[in-house]
Amino acid sequence: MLTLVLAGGLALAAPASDAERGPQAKPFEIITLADGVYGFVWKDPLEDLIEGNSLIVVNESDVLVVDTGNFPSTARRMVAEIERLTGEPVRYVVNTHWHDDHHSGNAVFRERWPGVEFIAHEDTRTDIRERSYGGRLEDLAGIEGQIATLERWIADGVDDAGKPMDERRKQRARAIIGANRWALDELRDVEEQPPDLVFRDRLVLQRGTRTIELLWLGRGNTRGDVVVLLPEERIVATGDLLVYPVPFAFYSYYEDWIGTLAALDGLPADVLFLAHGRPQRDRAYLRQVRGLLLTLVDGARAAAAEGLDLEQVRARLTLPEWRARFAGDDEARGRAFDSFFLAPGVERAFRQATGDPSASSPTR
Amino acid sequence: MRALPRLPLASAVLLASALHPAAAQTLVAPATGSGVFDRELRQVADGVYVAVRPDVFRQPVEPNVAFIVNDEDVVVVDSGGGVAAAESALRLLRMVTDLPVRYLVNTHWHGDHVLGNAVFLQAFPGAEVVGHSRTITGMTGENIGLERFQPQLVDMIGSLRKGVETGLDDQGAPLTPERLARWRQMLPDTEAALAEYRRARIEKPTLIVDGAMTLWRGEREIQIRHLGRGNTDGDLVVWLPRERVVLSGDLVVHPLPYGFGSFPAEWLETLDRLAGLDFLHLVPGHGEIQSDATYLRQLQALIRKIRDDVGAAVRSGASLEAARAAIDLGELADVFTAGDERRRALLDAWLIQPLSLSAFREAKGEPIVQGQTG
Repeated sequence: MLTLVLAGGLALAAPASDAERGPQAKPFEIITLADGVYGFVWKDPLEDLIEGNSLIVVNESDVLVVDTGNFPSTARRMVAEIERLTGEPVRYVVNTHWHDDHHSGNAVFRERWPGVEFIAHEDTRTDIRERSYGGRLEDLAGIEGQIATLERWIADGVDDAGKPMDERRKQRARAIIGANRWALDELRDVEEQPPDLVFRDRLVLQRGTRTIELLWLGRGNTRGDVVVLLPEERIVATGDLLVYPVPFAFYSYYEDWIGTLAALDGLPADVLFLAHGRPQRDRAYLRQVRGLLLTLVDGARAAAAEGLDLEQVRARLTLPEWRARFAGDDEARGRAFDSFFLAPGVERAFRQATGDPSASSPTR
Repeated sequence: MRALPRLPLASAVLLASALHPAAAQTLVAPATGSGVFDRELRQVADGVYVAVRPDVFRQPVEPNVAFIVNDEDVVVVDSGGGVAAAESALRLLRMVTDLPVRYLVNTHWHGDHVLGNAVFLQAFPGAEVVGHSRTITGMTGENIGLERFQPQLVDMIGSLRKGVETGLDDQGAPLTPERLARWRQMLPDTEAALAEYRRARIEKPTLIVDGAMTLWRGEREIQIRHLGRGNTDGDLVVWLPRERVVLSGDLVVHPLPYGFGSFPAEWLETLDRLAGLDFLHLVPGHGEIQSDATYLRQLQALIRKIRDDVGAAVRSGASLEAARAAIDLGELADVFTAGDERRRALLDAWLIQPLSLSAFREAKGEPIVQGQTG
């Protein structure tokens, strides 16, 4: 998922401070959600190098982890945290979906715990092998291309739009180049370790008195999103079906997603553990995202019925009220809303509304 | 098949059928070491083995225990009816590989398929038992009946010992040499069965799948699927698409099917789905490995006939007893019994009696309850 690696992309207005600290120092915290249930949560979900949160479930004699992050070094930090929390081995890892920031640490986990089994929806295994691993060289080339572009802008003193590269923008560009170089080294180190236990609808792991339910509630963010429910502890890990503070909408299934979020809303949970952003302790944000998706799908359908073209749809569906609800006057959030939700979502939702069969592909 | 309840059930039929009297003989049977749990290993495909108990009619019945040996681990299908049964299977596994067992699939809840779980879990601490949620229900409480069946076994051992010592059956009729020989084997076998019940420990599945899951082991694909209700309310089959081998559990048992707590209409549909898998080898829950769907189709014909006859009788207001009397299998029974009287008695006890009860309940719209097979 190149886009997520370069969150913020070539927009150079954001402060450079995070990237200057170095991606390897990206701060996280361990949140205790219940007895033996911990969240590995990134403090700023919108930092340059997007990373996914992980849920750590420590059982009587083993550990289950949900998602393994985007970079091997991140996975090693997670492994170290898990070893601080418990002496029990990680026996199961759930990859909630195929996007790289949820499974790239798999091999690190298997190296540390050779008996670990990786669980996912069956479509997620296919997409990890075909799209994620299959598209890896292309992703790396894309990052190299972005580095080259930024270097050229610095050298020329002007960007492709003709806007001058002042000292602040140059500093920002250098920071992004640094982060990308770091990411490239990391991503070249990712070893393939696809899921080896897959299912369609539901699996349950019983661990003494603890029940861990793995559920596929329907298509949404991807075609194979799995949520992990702890019904006794009333916690559900949502993967990217729910992302805070703005949803990701890359290659998603927007209409199905509305129903999938309704199913998620119906689960017996007090805590929604998101793969990006802070855990949510009520359903307000879930319903807000569902409302946004309803607006997007209705708008795309109406546009398709009127016979508009993509340019016209983009011009019409800017969703300013929703942008205000999600971003307020926070610039970074506003940019994230535009680039993570609006840009990918409007185009594909429109293609889905026109019945374009390629719009149900995992990557088109 | 439940562990061992079949033994008292089926044996009751045999004990009651006094055949030709013969001269009394006094024989002493060995009390232990009957070999009833011994198995032989058959290879089905590359890395796929089945530990079979060669004599399928010997009781307690024992299922086929399958080993799928992968590059780095082993998947076992069914564990045998107790400690001794599982240990005999485990010895065979050790002969073909040192790799650890990672998953043990229980095809259904009957004791002969699950009471060996504890042995595998003890031998392989990293192993996980996979089963349907209804398998867990069946392994809970009265159904599996570890305590409930012990008095029946004790009574049976008493009858057998008396018969072996006096040469007379329960009615005082002399035992034929054939029956006496059989009783001499049944006595230590039944004692062994009782000992197994007394030391059995129940370990339920902890990875629960009610629909479908697939294990990938290198290029090998191991599908674990619930194709619908049939033999029980939670049958799982294991399907290896690359090797084209299917392990059916007791959805198919050869050469005499079981039908305890089965669901006649759904069983027929489930067998259609099983037949649709395009297998080269079908490993039944018990008995010989099948290389085509011939036996599966014969089994369907038998289930259908019993269901149709009972259904017609129910529609004309028949009682269970009358409905059973209305079952006319004709030559269809010979496909399974080959005209053998003992096999016919077992077919009656293992399939016709329990399945006709299910068909009766089904026709009347009453629930079919696991563990209620009389």
